Amino acid sequence: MSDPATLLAVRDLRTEFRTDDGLVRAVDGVSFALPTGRTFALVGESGCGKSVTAHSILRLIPNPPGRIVAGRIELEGQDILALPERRMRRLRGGRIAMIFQEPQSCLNPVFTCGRQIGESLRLHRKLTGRAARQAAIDLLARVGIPDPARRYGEYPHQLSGGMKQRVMIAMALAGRPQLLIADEPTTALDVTIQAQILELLRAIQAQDNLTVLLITHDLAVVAETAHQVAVMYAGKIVELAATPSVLSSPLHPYTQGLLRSVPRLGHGADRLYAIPGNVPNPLSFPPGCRFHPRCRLGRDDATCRTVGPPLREVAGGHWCACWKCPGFEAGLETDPAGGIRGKETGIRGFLD
Amino acid sequence: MPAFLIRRLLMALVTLASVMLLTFLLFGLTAGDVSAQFLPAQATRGQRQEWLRKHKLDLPLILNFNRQVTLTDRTSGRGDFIVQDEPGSSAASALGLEPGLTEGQGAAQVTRTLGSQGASWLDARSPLRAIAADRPWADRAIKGTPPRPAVTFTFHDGSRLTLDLSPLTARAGAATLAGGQATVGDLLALINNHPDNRGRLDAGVSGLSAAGAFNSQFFWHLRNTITFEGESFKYQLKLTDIIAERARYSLALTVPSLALGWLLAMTAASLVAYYRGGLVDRLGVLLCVVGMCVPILVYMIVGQSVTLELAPRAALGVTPWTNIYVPVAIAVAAGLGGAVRFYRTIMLNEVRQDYVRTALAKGAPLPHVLFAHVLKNCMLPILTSLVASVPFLILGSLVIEQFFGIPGLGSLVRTSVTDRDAPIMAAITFLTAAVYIVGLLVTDVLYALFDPRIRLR
Amino acid sequence: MTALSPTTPDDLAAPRGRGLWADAARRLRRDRSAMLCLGVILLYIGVAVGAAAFLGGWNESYDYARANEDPSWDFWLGTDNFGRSTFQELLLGAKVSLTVALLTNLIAVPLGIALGALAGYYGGVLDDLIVWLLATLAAVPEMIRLIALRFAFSTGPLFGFIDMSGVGGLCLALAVTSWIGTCRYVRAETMKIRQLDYVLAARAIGTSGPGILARHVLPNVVHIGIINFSLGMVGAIMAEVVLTYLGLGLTGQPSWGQMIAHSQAKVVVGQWRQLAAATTAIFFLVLALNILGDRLRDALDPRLKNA
Ligand SMILES: Nc1ncnc2c1ncn2[C@@H]1O[C@H](COP(=O)(O)OP(=O)(O)O)[C@@H](O)[C@H]1O
Ligand code: SF4
Ligand SMILES: [Mg+2]
Repeated sequence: MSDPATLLAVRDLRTEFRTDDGLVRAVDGVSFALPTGRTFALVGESGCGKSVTAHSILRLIPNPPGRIVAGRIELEGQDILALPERRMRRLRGGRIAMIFQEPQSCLNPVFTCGRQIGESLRLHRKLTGRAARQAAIDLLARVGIPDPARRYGEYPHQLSGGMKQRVMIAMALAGRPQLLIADEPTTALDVTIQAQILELLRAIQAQDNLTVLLITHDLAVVAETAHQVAVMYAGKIVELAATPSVLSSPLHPYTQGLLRSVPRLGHGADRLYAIPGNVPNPLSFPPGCRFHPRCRLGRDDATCRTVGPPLREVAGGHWCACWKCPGFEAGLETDPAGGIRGKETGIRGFLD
Repeated sequence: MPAFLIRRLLMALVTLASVMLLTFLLFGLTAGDVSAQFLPAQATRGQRQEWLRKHKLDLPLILNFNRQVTLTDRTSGRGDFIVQDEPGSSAASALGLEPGLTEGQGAAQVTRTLGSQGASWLDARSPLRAIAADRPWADRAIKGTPPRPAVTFTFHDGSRLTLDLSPLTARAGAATLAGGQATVGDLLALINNHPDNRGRLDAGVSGLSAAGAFNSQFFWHLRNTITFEGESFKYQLKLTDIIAERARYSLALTVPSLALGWLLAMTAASLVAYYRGGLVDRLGVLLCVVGMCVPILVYMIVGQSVTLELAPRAALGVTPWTNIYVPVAIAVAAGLGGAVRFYRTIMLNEVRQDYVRTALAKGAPLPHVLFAHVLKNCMLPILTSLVASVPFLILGSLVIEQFFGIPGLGSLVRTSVTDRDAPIMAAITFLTAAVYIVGLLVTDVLYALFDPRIRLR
Repeated sequence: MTALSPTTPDDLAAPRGRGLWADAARRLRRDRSAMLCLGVILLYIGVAVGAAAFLGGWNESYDYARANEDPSWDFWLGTDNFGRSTFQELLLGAKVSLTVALLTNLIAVPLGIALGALAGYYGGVLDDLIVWLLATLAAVPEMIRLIALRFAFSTGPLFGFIDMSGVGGLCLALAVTSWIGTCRYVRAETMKIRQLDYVLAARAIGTSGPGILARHVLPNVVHIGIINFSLGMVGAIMAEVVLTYLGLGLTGQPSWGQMIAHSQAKVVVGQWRQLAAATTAIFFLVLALNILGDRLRDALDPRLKNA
C-alpha cells in the first residue's frame, strides 16, 4: 500500500494562555501530519496539551485568555489559520468535525437531540424541515441508536452517557466530514460502553474513509485503533511513529514509562509501574528537557538539564526527542509534518 | 410533577401565613391606642371608643374570652332602639352606652353591649366598675340640683322606657357609676325587674362561644389581610379602594421602566458578553460599576434639575400623563449598571459551558450560538430575577414616587409611615409578599416549561 | 492555580487549610487594586474617626453673615444656608455612613454565618425553622422590610426599654434584611461540606458536632462572610441615603444621606455643592468596596473566579 496523501498537517503549532498567574505555553511547537483515511493517535498525560492542540485545529481556543501565536495548520495544503472567520465556520462541522470528552455537558440541555443534529444539517447540507428530520433519524440509526424516531424528539438528559456520545458522533457525521477529531471520546464512559463506541468509530472510519485524530491517554485504545501515534509531554511531541514500533520498541524514556504503567494480562506478578514525580507546572516548565526531573536516565545529566532535545527522525518514520535515545546523534531533524521546517515558514522568526 | 406542584403550593401557603403573622407582629402589636392621632383633640371618650371599635382595636389581641353585658330589644326583630340621656345627665356614656341610634345590626336578636371593652371574668358578682366608666354621671357644669341619672330607651315599636340609675349610685353614695360598690348583678336586676319594663328590654351577660373566641385583633387582622376589607386609619376608606386607585400610578411608572430596563440591560449584556474580554466588555463593565456607585437619589436630583431646565412642567407630578417618562427614564438609568452586570455574569457563566464549544465546533455563527443556545439556557436565572422585581411592579419605586410626586402605592407607604397608618402598611406588605410568592410559584412552573430536565423531578 | 490544572473534585474538596488562606493573602497583597481599595477604605475610616474626635459642634455653628458662600480658604467647599462649613459637614458625615455600614454588617454577617452553618450542618427541624424564617423575610420586598422595621421600631422603645430610634435601631433594621443572603449561601455551602470525605471521617472518629463546625465548617465558609461584608457595606451606605430621604434615617447629626436628601430643593436654586460633595464621597467609598469585594471573591473563592 502506498503512503496515503496528507490530509492535515500541523506545523510548529504554538498556543498560549495568558492567565493571572502568568503565561501558559500549553502547546509549544507541535508538528505532525494526518494521512488520509488513517487514525492518528495523540497520547499523553492529562494536561499535556492534547485538547488545546485539537481546539487549535478548529480555532476554538477561547480568546482571551488563549491565542495561537505561531504555526501553520494545513488542510490539503491550505493554511486554515489564515482563513477568514466566515470560511473557517464552514470548515467547522463541515470538513472537520469534532467530538468531545464529556457527552454530559457537551450537548445543549434545553434542545432536543434531533434539533441539535438538525442544526448541523442546516448549516452544512442546507437541509431543513422533513428532509432534515429524516436525515437526522438516519444518522441516529447509523450510530446505532435504537428507536431513532423516538430519540429524535428526546432531550439529552433522557439518554444514557453512551447514547449521548452516539448522538455527538451523529452530529459530527451530519456535515459529512473528511477529518474527525475525537478528544478522549470514551474517557467519561463505562468500560463496556467504551469498547462499543470505539468499535462504532472504527466502523464509520472504514465506511467513509474518514481521517481520525484520536486523542486519548489510554495506550490500550491506541493499540487497537491507531495507525500512527504521537506521544506528547508538557506541550511538546516527544515521540512519533507507527503504532507497532512505538508499542514494541519505544525509544523515549517517557513512552517507556507510559507503556510500563499499562496493566497487561499475564504479567500479574509485576507491580504496576508509575512514572515517578508529577506532571510539571505549565507556568514554569523545567529547563532543558522538560522530562528530566522524572527521567531515570537524564535526571543528573548536564545536557538533559540545560538543553532541550529537538525532535529527530532516528529511524525511518520514527521520531524521538531524547538525547539518550539510540541513534539520536545520527538522527535527522526532519519535520514529522513533512515538507519545510517551521523555521523557514517565517512565523517562528516573527516571534523569536 | 403534580406532587411537586402540590408541595410547592403548600410551601407558598405556609409562607403566606407566616407573612400574615409577621405583619401582625410588626403592625398589629405595636400599634397600641393610636386613636388620639386620628381623632380631633376634643373628641369624647365615646368617640374614641367608637373609633377603636370600628378598627377592632378594642378587642383582645389573640383570642377573645371576654363577656359583655348585653341589652336586647325584644319588641322587634330589627334593632334600632334609641338611647337618650336625661337632660343634663351623662348616665348613658357613664355606662359605656353611646347615646343615639344604634347601627342596624340586622340580626333577629339585636343587642347593644355595655362597656366596649369586655372582660374575661365578667359575671353578676363583678363590680360595676368592670363595665362602667369612671366619670361623673352628671354634668358639673349645670348649677343647682344635679339632674337625675337616668337613661331613656325608645324601642322599635315606638314605646319608651326610662331607667333611673340612682339606686346604683345612691347605694354607694358615689358620684360615678364605677366608683361604688354596685355590681353588674344589681344593674341587671334594676333593668329586668323594672316595673315599666314588661319584658321589652332584656339585660344579661353574654355567654362564651367558640366563634366568639376568634373575635380578636389577630383574627380580624387575618381576615382583613386576606380580603383587604380593613379600613385605613386616616382616610376612612376601604383598603381595596385606596390600593386600586393608587396602583394605577405605580403601574404606569413601573411597567414601562421594568420593560424598558430589561430590554436595554439584556441588549447591553449580550453585547458585552459577545465582546467578552475585549475593549467593549471592559468599558461596559467599568461603566456599570461606576453607575452602581452613585446613589439613586443623585440620579433623581440631577435628572429633575435637567428636566427643569429643558421642560419645567415635566419635572413634577403626573399631569399631563406624559410626565411619567421622566421618572421612568431615571429609574431605567439608575438600575442599568447593576442589571447589565448581573445579566453579563449569567451569560458569561453560560458561555463557558461545554455545549457552547460544541455548537461552535458545528460551525454555527457566534450570534446564533449566543442568542439561540445560550439565551435559552439563561432563561432560568433571568426569569428568577424578573420575578424578584415583581413586587417593585406593584409598589413602584418608593423613592421615585415620593420624589416626583406620583401618587402611587410607594408614596402611600411613605405617608402611611408618617401617619402611622398600620392597616395600610400591613395590607401593602402582605400584597407585595403575596405577589412575590405567587410569582415564585409561577416561575417554578415556567422552569418546568423552559428546562426539560426539571420535568422529571 | 485553579485555571491551570484541570480542576478535579478533589481540589474542590480540599480543606481550606492554612495554605489556601496564605495563598489568598499573598494574591491579595500582590493585587494592587485590592490594596488600593483597602487603603481608600481605611482612609475613610481614619477621616471618620478623626472628624468625630476633632470637629464637633458643626450643628450649632450658625453664622448667617457667611451663609451660602463660595469656596474660600476658610471654607473649602463653601457654606450652607446657615453659614456652616460644607467641608466640615462632609468630614463629619463619614461617621454616620461608616458606622451604619460597619455595624450593620457586624450584626448581619455573623448572624448569617451562624444560622446558615447551624441549619446546613444539623438539618432537621432547626433547618426547617431557619429556612422558614428566611422564606418569610425574603417574601417581603427589601424596602418594605426596612420601612416596616423602622415603623415598628419608631413606636417606642422595644420591649419597653431598648431604644430603637437611633443608629442601633437603624443598623438592626438593615441587618435584619441583609443577613438573608449570607445565611442562604453559607447554608448551601455547609450542606456540601458536610458530605465531604474528611468531614465524614472526622465524624466517624467521633468528633463532636460543634468540633466539626468549628474546625471544618467555619474555616470553609468565613470567606463568604468576608465577601458579603464588603458588598453588604455598599448596601448599607446606599440604604442610609434612601432612608434618610424618606425621613426614616438618622437625624440630629451631619450625614451624607442628609446632604444628598436635602439637595432636591437646593439644586433647583443652584446650590449643588453639598450634593456633589456627598456623592463624590460615597462614590469613591462604594467603588473601593465594590472592587475589593470582587477581588476578595476572586482570591477567596476560586470557583467563582471570572464569574
Ligand atoms: N482556557 C484556559 N485557560 C488557561 N489555561 C488553559 C486553558 N485551557 C487549557 N489550559 C492549559 O493548557 C494546558 C493543556 O491543557 P489540555 O490541552 O486541556 O490538556 P489535555 O492534554 O489533558 O487535554 C493545561 O496545562 C491547561 O492548564
Ligand atoms: S533528554 Fe534526557 S532527560 Fe530528556 S528524556 Fe531523554 S534522557 Fe530523559
Ligand atoms: Mg483534554
